[in-house]
Amino acid sequence: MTKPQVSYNMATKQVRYEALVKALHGDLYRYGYWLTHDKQVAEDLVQETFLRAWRALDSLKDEKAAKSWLITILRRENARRFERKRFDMSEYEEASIMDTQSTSTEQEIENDWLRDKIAQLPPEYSEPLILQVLGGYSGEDIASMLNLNKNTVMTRLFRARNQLKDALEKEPEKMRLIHE
Amino acid sequence: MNDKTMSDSTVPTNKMDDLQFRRSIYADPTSLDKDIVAAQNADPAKKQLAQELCQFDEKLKQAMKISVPDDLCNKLLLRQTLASHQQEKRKTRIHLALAASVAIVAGLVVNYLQFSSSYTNLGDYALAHVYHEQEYFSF
Repeated sequence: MTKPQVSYNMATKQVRYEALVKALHGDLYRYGYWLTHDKQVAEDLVQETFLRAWRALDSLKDEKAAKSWLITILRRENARRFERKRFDMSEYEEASIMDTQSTSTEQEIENDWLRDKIAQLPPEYSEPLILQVLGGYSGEDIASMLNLNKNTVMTRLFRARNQLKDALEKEPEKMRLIHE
Repeated sequence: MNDKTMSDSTVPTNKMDDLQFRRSIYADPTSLDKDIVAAQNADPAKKQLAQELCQFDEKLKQAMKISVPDDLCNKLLLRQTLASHQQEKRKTRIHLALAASVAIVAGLVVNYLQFSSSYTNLGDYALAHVYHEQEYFSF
């Protein structure tokens, strides 16, 4: 390889990388947040993920698959985090996950309430739900990303929504979230 | 899944039963599966349930969209720039080491050729060659 060729490749790689970061860092951060329920950890995970992505960028052939590729890296990073260190998720932590400082408007209060309920879902239910609602993935996509079969994913999605709806029904004043 | 339940059903109808519809619509409110769409069109209550769930999904989506730190994008780019700078420096060092090795080997080869030959320099060698072939010269 000649020198200009190398720097040309480097430049394209840089451009691709920057485009990826700009387009997908928000989605990845949100996904990381819902996996970990911690903003700082989510940020670290996203940084680790993109650093790995940079090193392996040449192996990404299809730009359309970029998001699920990155999500896969992020999930692996998250699993690695648990290998390194066991976090005990206490009840206190679960309850104080959300910051309530920005709860000004009614809309925000509703959102906070919903976030709280989503965070309380068991992770095996919330993860497919987040991939479906936030990521816009189909049942098949989620099944292949989580290494599950499609029926399992559909059952978990059903249960996730069912639990959220049950939670709504327990608090009648929130019912308009679904009925308005 | 659907086919199996339908064939098992004693009712001779190709409509989905309520429970099955509920399960499918809860699993994916935006489903465009033709059975689900047909069931919705046949029953206004089902259609309403589907619409409610779609609205609920929209709310969920809004709730899930937590704010992303403003500086995250720049941080990511910065970290990558630093990382690849380090890598670049390492590469430069490797290239330098390679160039130095080649230079040393070249030096050794030249040395070897110069001191092992019975001729001390290229000029002498050229002249010896000419003298050796003198008889073939035409002049």
